[in-house]
Amino acid sequence: MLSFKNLYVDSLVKDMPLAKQIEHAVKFEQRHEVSGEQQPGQGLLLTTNRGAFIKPCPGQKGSVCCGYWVVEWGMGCPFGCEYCIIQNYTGAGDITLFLNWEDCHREIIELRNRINGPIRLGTGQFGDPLAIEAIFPLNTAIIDWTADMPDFTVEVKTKSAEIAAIMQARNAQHVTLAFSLNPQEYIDRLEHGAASLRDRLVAAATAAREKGCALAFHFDPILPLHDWQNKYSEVFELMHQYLQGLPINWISLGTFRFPKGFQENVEKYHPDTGIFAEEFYPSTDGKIRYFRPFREQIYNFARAGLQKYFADVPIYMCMETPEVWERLKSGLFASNDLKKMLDKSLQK
Amino acid sequence: MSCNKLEFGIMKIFEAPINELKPLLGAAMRPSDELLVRSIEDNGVLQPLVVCNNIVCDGHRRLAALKSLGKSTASCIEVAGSPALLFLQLNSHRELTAFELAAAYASVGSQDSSAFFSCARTPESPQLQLALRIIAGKIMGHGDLPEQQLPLNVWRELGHLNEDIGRFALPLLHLPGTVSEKRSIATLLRQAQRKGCLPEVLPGTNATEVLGNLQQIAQPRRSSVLEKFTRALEQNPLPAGVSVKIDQTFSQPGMQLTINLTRRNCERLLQTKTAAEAIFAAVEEL
Repeated sequence: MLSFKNLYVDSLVKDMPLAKQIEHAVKFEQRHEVSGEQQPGQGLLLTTNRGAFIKPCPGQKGSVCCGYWVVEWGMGCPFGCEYCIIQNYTGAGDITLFLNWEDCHREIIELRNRINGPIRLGTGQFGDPLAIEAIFPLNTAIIDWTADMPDFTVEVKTKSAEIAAIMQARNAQHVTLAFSLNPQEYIDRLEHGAASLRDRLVAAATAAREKGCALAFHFDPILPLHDWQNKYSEVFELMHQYLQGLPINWISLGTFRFPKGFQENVEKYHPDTGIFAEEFYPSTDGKIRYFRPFREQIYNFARAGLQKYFADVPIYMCMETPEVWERLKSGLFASNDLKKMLDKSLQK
Repeated sequence: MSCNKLEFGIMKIFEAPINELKPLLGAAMRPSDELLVRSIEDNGVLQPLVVCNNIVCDGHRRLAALKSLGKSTASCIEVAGSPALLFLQLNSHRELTAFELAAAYASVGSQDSSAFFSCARTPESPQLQLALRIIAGKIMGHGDLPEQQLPLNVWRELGHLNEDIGRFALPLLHLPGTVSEKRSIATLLRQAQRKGCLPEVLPGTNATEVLGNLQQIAQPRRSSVLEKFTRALEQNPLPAGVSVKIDQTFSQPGMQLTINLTRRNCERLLQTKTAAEAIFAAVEEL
């Protein structure tokens, strides 16, 4: 059972059945009635989304982006990954949940009516929603709402092995179940509370075999720590062992990157983290990244390692600069090209 | 006592024997200038010193001027409170040096630490606290203080070195070089520490040399490509009238060439192309 020091309930949602259901499903020391969507800290906040639920992915200006849509269901995660950018916005373990799902449902319908062609909608941008699905079953609802929508893919991303939302769905053919992966040693050291690598792969294989959903994998962030090439090669081999013959829509790669000031924030809580023991330089979009030629080396290595086992799966880089794309693709490659590449993969 | 609510006790003006007054700033005292000495000689002290239990909270330069004039007493106002917080508030109109802050901070108890940084209008951080303690303990007691001071953000960066700051603070202060070079040195020292390759001493005798050597240590990837580029440029010189610029961090690949062409030297274009191709072949990272 998830436990929090404080439970904050916005007066706007206090009488909603979902709020009461969540209150019964979590442990907390103190309950506070609050007003507004500002997370007071050290706890779980139940409130409403005063803005939009459905947004274009906030890819960085100057990066090649894939034309993804994201659901802003709240923010936060029960895991404590040391590299996670969410730490910049909210305290470790703090979670905010928006309960006005009817607005979310309406916006998804509007999105489908407004946009021609394939839509890829993801729920994993602001935390790990599958990890909290037991108390906040929004993925289950979205999978159900979108089951009969044409050209619509819901990508559900997680570092957990909690796949009940997919296993219990009446139809999961339009779901892309995605897992963030890293070598087990890095998971042990940096992804506090997340599922083991093997558990994630078992969950992926189970969902794909039993529910016919497609899969996706995200190596993001790739961390070139000690012995990284061997460690990632072992992951690629394990993926092959567990996933051979199963449908994989895409695999993304993203090297560790962060905004200015992030290092200090992480080092405050994890002084021996070791994730900053590399050369980092600012990119034109303001993010700080590994030395660009080193990033290219990492991508070349990962692409070659993955293509060995998954030759027909599109492998793309997330939030990477056009210069790097151009050098790796030996030609110009824009956001629209990436969108087309991923949309095409859905038609397989 | 908080910064916003300094509580002055009953104020009284009195003449205090100078040899009994203890300047809060100690070695961080700013020297009195000749103008002030002359003014005091002509007109006396117009504004009494502010003291708290004989500790001078404000008027360090006036005190130095009185001493240089051989005076035995000084007009003082006695106030109650924390001398360090009083000093910060009474000097809030100017930017304090790191040495002054360190001297004042040395007299602050842990209960007043947050109020101190609030009065100093700088964020409280363990790194800055450590740096101030190092300045007060290891540097100001050293006597031979350099004229050049380092701003607080450099000290805060050095504070990230934890106990290793002790090895580098004084040598960095005395190192010949600009403040901007020293800021970069502090950043590189921190990078080297993160990589686990912090040197025992500053590697060089001046800031330029130290910077170059630290870049090799903390940024080996970039340094190696830069060297490769420099070598390639030497081996494939660009024709006269052509200048080249690259992004020194290599975040942007490629070269920016500026070519001055005239009707008579169009062959430069071809020569430039040949040299550029050879450089690209030699430096694949470009």
